[in-house]
Parts: sequence; structure tokens; C-alpha cells
Amino acid sequence: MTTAFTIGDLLRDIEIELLQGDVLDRELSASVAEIRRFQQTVRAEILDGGHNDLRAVAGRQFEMNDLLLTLVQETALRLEVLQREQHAVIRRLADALPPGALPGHAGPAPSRDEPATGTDAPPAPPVDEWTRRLAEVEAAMRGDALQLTVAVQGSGTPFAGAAIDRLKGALHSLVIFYINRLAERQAAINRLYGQWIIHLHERGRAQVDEIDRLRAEVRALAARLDRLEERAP
Amino acid sequence: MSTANPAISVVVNTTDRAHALDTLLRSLHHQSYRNFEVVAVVGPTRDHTLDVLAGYDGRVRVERCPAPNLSISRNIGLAAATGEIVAFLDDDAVPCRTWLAQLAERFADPALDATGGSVFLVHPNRPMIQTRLAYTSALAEQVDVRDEALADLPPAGDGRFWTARMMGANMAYRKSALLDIGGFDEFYEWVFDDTDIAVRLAFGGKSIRPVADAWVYHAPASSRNRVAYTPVGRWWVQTKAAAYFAIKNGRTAGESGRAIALRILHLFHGHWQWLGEMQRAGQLTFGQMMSMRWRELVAVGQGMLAGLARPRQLLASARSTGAADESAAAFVPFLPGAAPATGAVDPVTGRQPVITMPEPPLRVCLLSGAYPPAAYEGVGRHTNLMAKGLFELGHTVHVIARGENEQVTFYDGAYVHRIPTPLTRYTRYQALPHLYHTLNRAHAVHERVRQLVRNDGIQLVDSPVWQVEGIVTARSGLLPVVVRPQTATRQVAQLQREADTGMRLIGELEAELIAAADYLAPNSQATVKALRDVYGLPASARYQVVPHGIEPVPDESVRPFDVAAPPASLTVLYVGRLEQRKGILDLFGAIPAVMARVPNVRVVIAGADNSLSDGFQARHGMDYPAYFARHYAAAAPAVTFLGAVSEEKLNELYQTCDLFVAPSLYESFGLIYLEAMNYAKPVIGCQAGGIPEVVDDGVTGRLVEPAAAPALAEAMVELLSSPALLREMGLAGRRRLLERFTHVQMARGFETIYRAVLALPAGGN
Repeated sequence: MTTAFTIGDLLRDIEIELLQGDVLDRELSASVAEIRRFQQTVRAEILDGGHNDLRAVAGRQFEMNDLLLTLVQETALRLEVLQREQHAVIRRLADALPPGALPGHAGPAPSRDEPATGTDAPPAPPVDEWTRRLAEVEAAMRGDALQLTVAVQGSGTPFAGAAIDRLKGALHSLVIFYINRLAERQAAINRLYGQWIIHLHERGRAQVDEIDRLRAEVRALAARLDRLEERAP
Repeated sequence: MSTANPAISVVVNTTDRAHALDTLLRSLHHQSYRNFEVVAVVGPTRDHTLDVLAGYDGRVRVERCPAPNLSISRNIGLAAATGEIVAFLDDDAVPCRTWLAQLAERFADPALDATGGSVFLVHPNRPMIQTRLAYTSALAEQVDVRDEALADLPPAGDGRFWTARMMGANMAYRKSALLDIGGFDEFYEWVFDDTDIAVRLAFGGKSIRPVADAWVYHAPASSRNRVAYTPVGRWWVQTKAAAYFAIKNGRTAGESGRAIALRILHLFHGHWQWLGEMQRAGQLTFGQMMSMRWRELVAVGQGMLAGLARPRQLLASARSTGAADESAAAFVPFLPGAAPATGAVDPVTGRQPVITMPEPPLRVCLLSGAYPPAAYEGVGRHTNLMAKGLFELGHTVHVIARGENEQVTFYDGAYVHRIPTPLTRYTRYQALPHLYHTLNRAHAVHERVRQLVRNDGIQLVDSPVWQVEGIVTARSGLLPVVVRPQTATRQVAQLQREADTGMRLIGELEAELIAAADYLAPNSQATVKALRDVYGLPASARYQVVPHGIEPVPDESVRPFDVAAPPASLTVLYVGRLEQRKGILDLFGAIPAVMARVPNVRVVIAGADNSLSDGFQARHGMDYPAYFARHYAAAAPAVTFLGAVSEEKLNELYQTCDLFVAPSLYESFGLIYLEAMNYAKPVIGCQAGGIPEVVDDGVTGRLVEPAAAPALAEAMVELLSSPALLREMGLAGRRRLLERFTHVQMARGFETIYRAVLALPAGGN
């Protein structure tokens, strides 16, 4: 199997990694994974551990918000940077062409004799690990995932046991009522974050597609430039 | 109010660090952003700080701070600043080229009140990321590097209120936001001033968003509070500040009294333990430790008392010194005219080569996986010498090298960025480990290149072919890439008759890198020929030969012997890996013949045994030294195998030998011959590769046919039999080196290429 790899495979994979890396770089990817893990830990701590200290719950959620906010901010920053890099590359390559070689904004699609990737086959679509992960994060952020239910263990006290259990149940219901209200609000915040991240991701993907198109265009123009140079006396 | 090009006031608070301040001010000439002023707030100084500032008369506003207190100094600077944005920078730091441009860009967002970037501690022994996207709790729990925190979630800490924060060495604020909250709390004479301001801004609903970019390189200098690079310092001041901080901010954040008390206890205990550890490590005497522990105890008490009983003291000193009245003063740009063509500055020593620069200095990035002082290998040494030479010519050089943790040092004229290689990409090539690692490495390098474009405005990348570290950048089209073809994998594979799939594909990548290069800088005509033979170099490729160069040792290090009294015993030195390609077996074959005719000879062989990877062990069942001992037992007592040696030892060997021999079957250039010539030693090599371009046969040494032990023996005998010849050829070699092969001459060659590349229509290919 390994002997079947060609230089075309390598170059295609470099292109794909470059495109993916523009949006989803290692740090960001690791951040999403870690935040998801953290979310799971917090959920287990609150839901399974019988933890009903409102302040602790709120504290954890604030930490979560802070981390998510940073992630959103970093994503936005990266997109801006990407946009700048994209413009720089285009400017560099446009400078290489003789006046009049640029046929307007849209530019020609690469023809059959000017393959976009420099290889025989078109590039395979990148596996969208990022989208899959986002979907998982989104699922973990659903409001019902944060809801608590009453779970009171029987006291086992003779005679007064039933009354004690009823009283404990009532108190727990009250605490859980407030925790669930908090959770609902948090879920709304989480949804908002999730939507933002997905929105930013989509913007990023659109930019990546645009870069891909522009790179193909630039390659085609560069090939044309080479031919012009060859014909020149 | 926000503008696209805001006026920025850079405030530098300084006391008794004139040398560092001078370095900083000179480095500010390299800022890409022009609309800034510099306000220097000078504490009670006893050194020549004011003399340094006098050199900037009319360009730097100087304020005086009566007390050795950083927060008072910051408030005076804040009040005196006339810019919309106030950026604080330590006097022992050097910002990246686009630092202010990035800050200005961030503040174009009117909702932003505070930001700041990463700080790299450019420490010779303990370099690290000092801060990156840091945050803190209202209980003074600080997480300085968010990546580390993400790897260890949930963050260790009990605080309920957390906020992003910036480090004092790299922080910027909208001036109005700082004034809204009353500026810095003057209780903090040193440390926690930056953290406190972040928490108070957050309490005030201000927006704090640090960024991972906007780098500052921090080369810590000594002050009244600490002795740089040592554990000596007034650390109790930190404890006092932290106790005060936890009470003031903890209470505002609604922390319980118990939580605050526990936190203070924790801080105190931490310092107590640390002092004990230093005493056990011999860094403190018992008396010093107890004295410092006592001070810690007093400091905790002072901090708690002030936290509980004393109101915050905000902007008080600025008002009393009248600095606030100056905020109506005119904005005085630090760089009023066009950017002066000043050379690069060493951020640690402040050294700046004094040269005349007809053209603006360049900003280049060199790639080299292995790099001194961590590793001395061919490509790494060559890159190191290039960096040194380019710095001497005034250019700013960044080197990307391999490292286990991300860190930046300044070494031999270059910022050395050591970065790890995360194996997270190209997973389908895992079965080909060498290729898999190579691709991931090239990608990690490319990510760093992108960061360097954003932060330091690098203009081009220079990559060796070896290990194809520049392939991803070359394919990306982000920057022009100059490629240094030396001996590469495909050549080695051919020489050693290795042909696995991974090697084949790396060879293909080398060909792609060469084809994608904007310019090639082969080290010899032999390399040009090899490029044509091995990679099919296209006729249209742009290239220029740039011979290697090395740093000449001082004349006093060169010790040619007196011909009238030659040494009783002569030493022949071999340097290089012990492998077939280096001709080690030919040397083995020649040694007995030489000893038979020149009895007073001993041979020293320095270099790592490579018998395992070149297949020798598989064929003979032993390594090279064992092989020599078995097959040439009679000569063995006169031969010493040293294995790999340090750079210092190597120089000593060159200095003390009488003849240098390296019968390599192929060298693209032959740096080792230059190293011997540096010490005025005659050399013997082969008529192969680029060696004849270095060694002038019959003048600086002798050249023999490759793989010809008898001819090698003959040449060795010829030279060893004539002390006059040894001396004469050695001195001729030294002259040749000084005329043609110094590192600065090499750097000039690269400079010519870089300028040519940047002048090309698209900056390259």
C-alpha cells in the first residue's frame, strides 16, 4: 500500500492541509477538543456527583464562557489574518503578470490543460473533522443536557423516614428548580456561542474555497505568463 | 472614539537600566507603525539613564517619578500620554516589528478597551513563553499561558471570578478606559499592577481581549527588585501585593472571607516552601532563608492590613507631580521622518553592528532543524554562520529550529525559534515514519513562518533542501523561498544505495522544493552539477553559487610551528561521521603505510560512528573502531577514536593537529576543510564534489582520487615528511580562507540573492 504513494499524493495532501490549516489549525482544534472534555467533566461533576451548590455551578459556567469566548475571538482573529494573507498572495502574484493579463475579478477557471492542482486528478474533498466536532459540541450544549432531576436516596430512618424523605425531596426540588433555571440560561448562552463558532467556521470555509479558486486562477495565469515568456523573442 | 490610525503613546517606566533602555529605544526604529510617541518615566535613578534619553531630545518625552514604585510611574506615564491608546512596554523588552501596528488594528474596534500580546522570555538558559492569552482570578490565581491551561482543565484555582489579563511588559489600553477606573492602584510597587488593572477593568465592564500575536521579546535585566538570571530578589514584595490583591478584588468579586484567607495562606506557604528549596539547593544560606521567610511574614501582614483598612490610591501621584496637566501637550512622534535604515539590534546585549547601509536592512527567516548550540551539524552550522554574517551586515534574522517546547532565544545574531513537531497531520503516511515526520515538520515550520510574517514582517524564507523544511511554505505562495541545495537525501540514497519508498518520496519532495524555489543558492559548482544530474535542474532555474564561509578565529589562536624546531610527534586529524561515504575505510587502509614510513605519527579520529545506519555493521558484524582494531592491530595503538566531540573540543583538535585528512567520496562543499584551514593547517581531500573548489591542490594541501588508499597514503607521507611544506601549505590555507571564505563574505552572497528575489516582479517565482 505504502509503495503506491506518489509525489502527486504528497502535493495534493500539502494543498489540503494548507487549506484546512488556514481555518483549523492545531491550537484551535486542540482547544475545541479540550473544551469539550472540560464540558463533559463539568457535566459529570454537576449531574452525577449530586453537586448542588449554585455558586459552584455558576463559577464553572463562567469559566466555560471565558474559554468559549477566547475560542470565538481567536477564530475571528485568524479569519482576519487569513484574509490579509490571502490579499498579500494575490497581490504578489498579480504583480507578476503583464498589464492586461488579469481578465477582471472573476478570472477564468482553469482549463483542462492547466490543471488546478498540478496533478492528474482533482483534489479529494477534505474530511470535515471540524464540522463533526462542532456538531458534537453543539449536542453537548443542548439545554436538556444540563437539566437535573430529583434523586433523593431513602433515609432508612424508621417511622419518620417517609416524612424526612418527602422533606428532602421538596428541598432538593427547590434547589434543582433554581439550578435548572440557571442551566436554561446557560444553555441559551452556549447555543449562542455554538452558533457563532459555526458561523465563523462557515465564513472561514467560504474564504478557503475562495483562496482555492484564486490559487487555481493564479496557477493558470502563471502558466499563461510562462507561455508568453517562451514566445517572447 | 476610534480611528484607523490612532495616536499611540508608548510608556516606558525605567529606573537604573540605562543599557536596556538604550537597546529598547534603538529597536523602536524598526516599528512598522509610525504614529506613536514615547513617554519615558524615570524613577530615582543613579545610572546614566538621563544621558541615554538626552540622545533622544525632542523625540522622547521624559517624566520623573519620585518613588521607586511601578504603579506611581505608570500613572505618571498615563497622565502624560497624549495618545488615544497607551501601550506599556518594559525597558528590558524589545517588541516585534508590527507590535504597534497590531495594537492599532485591534483598537479599531471601538468596543475594545484593553489588549496585549505574547511575551517570550529570551533567557539564555531558561527561555520560555512568559505569557500568552493569560487570565487571572480575583484571588490572584494567574494562568500565564492559556494553551497550558487548556491541557489541564479545569484550571487549578478556587476563584469564582476570572478575567483575561495582560503582562506589564506588553499591554495596551484605551486611555479613557484607564482613566475611568482611576488608573493603577499605587499600592503595587512591583508586580500585580498589571493583574489588578485587568480585574478592575473587568469589574468596570470594560472589554479586555489579549491576542496570541503582537509579540514582545523580554530579556530580563537586573533591578532593585531582582538580580536577573538568579533567584535573588525581593520576592516578599510579591506576597505583599498578592495578599492585598486577594482581599481587595476577592471581596469585590464576592469571595468568602474563608476563601480569601485560604488563598493568602496558600501564597505565603508557596513562597515559604520555595525559599526552603533554594536553601537545600545551595542557592541561599540558612541565614538568608530565615531572613527572607521573616520578610515574607511581615509582607503578608502588611498586605492584609492594607487590603482591609486602606482605601485604594488611584492616580494620586500623577496629580501631585503635575504630569496630568501635560496630557494637553502636543503629540511628538518618535519617528518623525522616513524610516531610517538602521541595522538589527541584539535584544539581549544591545549590540548593533555599525555599518553604512545604502539600502534598507532585510528581514529574513532561515530554516534549520538542528541548530547550535543544541546541535552542531552541517546544515545547522552553515545556517548559524549565515545568521551571524547577515547580522553583521545589519539584517534581522529569524531561525526556525527544532525544539521540544516552543521558545525563543537570541543566539549569534539571530532570533532562534525552537518549535516542536506535533504529529497531527498527514496521518495516511504513518507507515512511512521518516516521510510522516518530514511532512509534519514542514507544516509546523510553515505555521511559524506565518506567525513571523504577522509579527516580524519577514520578507523571505531561506530553506535548505535537506529535510525539505521549506516545502509547505514554497507551495503556499506566502513568501518568496530561496533554497540552499547541499547534499540531499536523494544523493545520499544513491550513494548508499538505499531505496525505500519513504526515501524515494522525500527525494521527490526535494525535487519539488528545488522547482518551486524563487532562487537557488548552491554552495559549489559541484552542487550545480549534482542538481542537474540528480534532480534534472531546469535551464530556466535562477541560481547563484554562494560558497560556504566561516568565522575566522583570531590570529593569536593560529599557532603554526617553528620549522626550525618541528614537533617530535606529528598528529593527523580526521573529522567527520564514521561512514563509508566519508572515506573512513580508505583512511584505515592508508594508516599502516604511513606509519611504516613516518614512525612518529599518531592519528586522531573525531566523529560519531555511523556503522549501523550505513549498513557496515550488518555486513561486518562490528562498528568501525572495532573493525580497525581487528584488521589493523599493529597500527591501533597510534590511533585514537574520540567519537562525537563538542565544538570546543573540535576547535582544540584543529588547533593542535599538524595535518588534516578527510578522504570523503563526496562533499557538496567541504566545510571541514575550511575549519582546518582556519587554524592554518594543511589539508588532504579527494578530487570529488566541491572539495577542489575549497582546496587548492599543491598550494593549501593535496587532492587525491577518491577511494584510493595508496594514493592517500602517498600524499600523507609527502606532507608529513616535510615540516616546511606543512607550515607553508597551512598558512596558504589560512590566507585563502580570509580572502574568499569568511562568514561575512558568504552573507554578502546571500544578501545579493535576497535583494534580487525581492526585486523580481512577484517578489519571486
